[in-house]
Amino acid sequence: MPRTFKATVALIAVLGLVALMAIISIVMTHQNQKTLLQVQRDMQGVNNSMARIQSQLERGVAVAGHATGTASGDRFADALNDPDNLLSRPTDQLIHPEAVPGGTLRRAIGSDPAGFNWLTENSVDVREIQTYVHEYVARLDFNDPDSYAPQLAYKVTANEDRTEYIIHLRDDVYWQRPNVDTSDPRYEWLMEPRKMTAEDLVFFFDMARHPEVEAAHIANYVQDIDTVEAIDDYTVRVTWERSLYHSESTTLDAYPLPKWLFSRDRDGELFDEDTIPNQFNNHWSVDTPIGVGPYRFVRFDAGNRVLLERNEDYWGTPPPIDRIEYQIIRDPEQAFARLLSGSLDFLYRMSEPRYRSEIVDGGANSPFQTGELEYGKVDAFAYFYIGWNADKPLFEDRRVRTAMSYALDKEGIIENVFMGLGVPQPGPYYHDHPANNPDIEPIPFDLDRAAELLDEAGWVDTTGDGIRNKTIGGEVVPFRFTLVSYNRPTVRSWVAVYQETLRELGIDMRADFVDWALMQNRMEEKNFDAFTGGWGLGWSIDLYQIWHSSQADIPRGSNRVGFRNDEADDLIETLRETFDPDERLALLHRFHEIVHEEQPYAFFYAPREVNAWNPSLKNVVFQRIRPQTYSLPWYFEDGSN
Amino acid sequence: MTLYILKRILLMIPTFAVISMIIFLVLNLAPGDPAARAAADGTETVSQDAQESYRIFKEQFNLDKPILVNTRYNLRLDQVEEEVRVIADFRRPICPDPELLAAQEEEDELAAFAPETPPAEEEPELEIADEDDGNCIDVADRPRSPRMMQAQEDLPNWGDYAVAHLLTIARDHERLDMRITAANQLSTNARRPLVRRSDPDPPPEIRDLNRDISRENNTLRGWRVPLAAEPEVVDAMVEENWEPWFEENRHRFEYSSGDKVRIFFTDTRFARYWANLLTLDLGLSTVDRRPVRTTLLQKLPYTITLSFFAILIAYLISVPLGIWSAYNQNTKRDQFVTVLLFVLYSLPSFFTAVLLIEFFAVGRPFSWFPAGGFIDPNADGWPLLNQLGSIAWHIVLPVLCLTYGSLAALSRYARTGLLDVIRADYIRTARAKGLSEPMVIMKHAVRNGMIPILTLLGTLLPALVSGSIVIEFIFNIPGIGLYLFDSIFMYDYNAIMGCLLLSTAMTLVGLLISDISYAIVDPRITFD
Repeated sequence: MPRTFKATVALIAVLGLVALMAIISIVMTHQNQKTLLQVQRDMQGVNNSMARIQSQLERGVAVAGHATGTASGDRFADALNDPDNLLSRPTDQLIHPEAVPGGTLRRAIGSDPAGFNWLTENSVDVREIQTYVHEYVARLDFNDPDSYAPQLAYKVTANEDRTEYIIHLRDDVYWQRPNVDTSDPRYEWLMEPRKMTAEDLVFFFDMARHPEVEAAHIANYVQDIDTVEAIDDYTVRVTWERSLYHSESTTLDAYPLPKWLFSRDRDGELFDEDTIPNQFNNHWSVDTPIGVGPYRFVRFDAGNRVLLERNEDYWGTPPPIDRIEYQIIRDPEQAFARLLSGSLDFLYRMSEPRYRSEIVDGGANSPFQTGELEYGKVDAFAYFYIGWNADKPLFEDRRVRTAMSYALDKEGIIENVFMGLGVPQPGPYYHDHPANNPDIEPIPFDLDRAAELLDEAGWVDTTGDGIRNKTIGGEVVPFRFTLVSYNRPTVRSWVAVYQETLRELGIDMRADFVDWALMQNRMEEKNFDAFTGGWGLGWSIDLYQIWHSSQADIPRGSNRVGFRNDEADDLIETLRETFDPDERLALLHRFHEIVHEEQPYAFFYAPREVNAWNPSLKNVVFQRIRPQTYSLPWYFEDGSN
Repeated sequence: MTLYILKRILLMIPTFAVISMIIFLVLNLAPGDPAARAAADGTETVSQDAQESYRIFKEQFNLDKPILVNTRYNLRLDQVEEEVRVIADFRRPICPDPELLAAQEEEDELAAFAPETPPAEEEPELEIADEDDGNCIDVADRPRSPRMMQAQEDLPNWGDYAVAHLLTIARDHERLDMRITAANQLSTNARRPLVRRSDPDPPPEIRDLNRDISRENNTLRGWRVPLAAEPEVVDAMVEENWEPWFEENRHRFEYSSGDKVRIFFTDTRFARYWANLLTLDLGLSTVDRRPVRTTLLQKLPYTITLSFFAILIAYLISVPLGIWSAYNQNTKRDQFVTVLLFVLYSLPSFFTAVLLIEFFAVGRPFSWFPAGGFIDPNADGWPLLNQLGSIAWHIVLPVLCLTYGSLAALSRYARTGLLDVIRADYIRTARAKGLSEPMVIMKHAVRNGMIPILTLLGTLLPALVSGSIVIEFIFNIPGIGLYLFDSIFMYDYNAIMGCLLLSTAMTLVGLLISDISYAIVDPRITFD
């Protein structure tokens, strides 16, 4: 036998031995762990009952005073009786009175959060984590999203024309501590408790308005602020240069940022005042972000998870669930597999094929039938549409655009392609919003009507090749165009259906499936006939960016279809300065009417998400507004999972 | 031999440079922009006019620089003037259409009889001008918005190189609106970029430098004039602020021929990238602003563990299998194994992976293994052996997927290698002198027959670090493959470069190692 061969055999034998020992050790520790776990579980039970008693005690006071029961609590509650207060008593009770404390809620997000700088990061995931870790001046009432409920401010007043807001902040709110290595002496300066003060709120506005801070998503909203100043430690005055409707939401959706932290380096040395905005973008502390909310940020393991833990120093009613673990799962199939195998408790947005195979065609063995899992649907705050380039001769006639809408079989596609997961989109607003004009009937699927409109507009098949044409400028132009489509399986399938319908009408549509970056390129260069798009919505409506004619001409503007209508422009401008709710509603209804007549888009559908969860999770309610899967009301049946 | 190795290593440097240049060019010339992003479902939120943020973003990642060579020191006044004109023209109101004007006048006359209607409020921009006062622009002459976007890109991109010309325009041009545009552009272009702005803990001297730059930038940012400014205001701004400032900083804007050569080669995206690369700095990710090197090092262990075990197991199975089937050449057993291996070879791994998860992870019918991941998320405080156990338990399925496909090829190599030598004269001699059959095969045949397998060593190193996109995606293992995949989606240039260069370097090293190992194993091969 050659020496090398013997050595190899020996090596393999040793490796095998090691593996065997490892297995034996695992089995042994497993036995030990079982006993340990049993003890732990017993302890947990005792703890739970303790915590339940404690939280019920707290809640008893909280319902009465919405605070921790000190004398100052009444002051905050009384402020809501003040008629000048813009905030009103919340009608939604977020924490369920029967809730059992305990457990780790394991849910999924699709990718690594890009960072945790609340101001400069604008992704949906980071926004959602922010609502757990941090709080706002005020929040929209979940049941009545037209009014604001108090959060960090107990009282906000404004003058008649809404150019001056006075924000009264609570004085019993403490900042969390960044989750740094506490044994390292360089972080000692972080250990003392710090109150949230007016200075921190002023700092938010300072940063949001500073051109060096990369907070483009908010820059347009804060540009009309004149000054922000702290009147005393807990009172802030925000003055606006002019009377603007969005001043209210911009002021109330603000949140304090810890100036004491952002103005210092790791060792607690103060930065030079001039460099704070530059440091702000990449400040060292954003890896361990802090807030004042019900949960605190524990850690982020890239590619694995984000872990939040209940903030024991939270000023409000503590939420029942101990920890929230966001597992970062790239593939929705993997997420569903984890839900099935029990390593995930809640899955937001089940994939469509899974919905079909597990729920629609699931049969008796489906986990949703056997009680292993539960599911619920929620209407997402978004809608999809086809935009027509009104600057092209093909779509400049609104009869043509209307005909295209008549040819889109919304209900049929939703029913057959999306398995019912969608709601036909009535117009430019969220479909369940009072701004929708009740007199407007959504355009039905009617090919005869579409053909009529096309005939009227002069598009007739004169050449007999099956494609309509029209003489424009002495030239016979066939009705042929390219739909720039977002490359996704769902879009592919419905575009195919639409293509088929249009062919019946004598229209030749080609679809060009491209990824997002290319799509954006072509829209910026106005190099398209039509495109498939989607808008994420919010409850408060600002039409300016998408519909005002001035936005059709500026580079990178959002009015890509070139919608220009003088009356609509007037309405949009008036809306920006109108505060009376009834007046606003009338204007919004009229605007809906105009858009309905003009059909700049073929409004398509609002997606409906299917969420699935483990049945030991109780009181799983979804909110009307974002974050729709806010987990504060949820709890685990027996306080653990 | 040493000389040979030295030569090869020296040759690797230009090879690496050329490969990196090719990747760099392909990436930078691809359409699309790293700043563009949408939600995965294709909805977007209203985009804001965020020029300043976009400029900072470009500056931070050198995207404002030309790709390979920089000739901007030759920028001519008329080039700058042209771009300024586009922006100024774009802002001018549109001249009324004569027909519309006539209709408007008629309406005005009618309106004169109804004096109570208040005059409509005028929006300064894009409103149609009331009269032709010489300050409006025909619709046909108005720059299209892509042209405007181009101008808005070019001017800030030119940075320092346009400052002198902008000052000339702001001071001397006959059109007031162009002077204003130039003066305002000046307050952007004259600013200096911060040094190492993404470093959260810079050394004190850098911090002091940045403080000075910030102060100056803040001053410069204030030197703007309103769009509707009177000529005197512009004059005052130029004379009182910009000219003294320019005199003081003249050295920044005058280029000697030495400077020009330096700028030509070094003030480019590629040169900046390479300068960083020499210090092993792969730059920052445009998505999360973390250093790419740190992220890569964080993800390497996952990928290496997976690939190492996959390769090890593949070799442990396929080499003996190849030997066995060479020994049993053309028997029924050999044919059966061959067919089986090729069936495995033809099963796509993404398909098998999904089936394996369904069968063995989610309780349909078995739940023996976890559905994905690399280690239990709560394993932090566990004893080492338990952690290893958890890893082993998690990677069984992915390693299986990575292994079975390579069995066919590897065992073929081993089989052919052995078949080549098994009929050689020295094997017959070995048998003839009465050696036992295992001795003949193991000592004389295998040692010589396995040399072709060594060729494959070269491919091992890159395979170790490049990871499998599909398997890492399906099993949610945060390795290099998944990182590359995500980076491509996000147009994260630096991250893509980092992943690809890592594989490139490993391929080059791997080839060298396999060549050297030839010489070591087979005394007949020399490189001298």
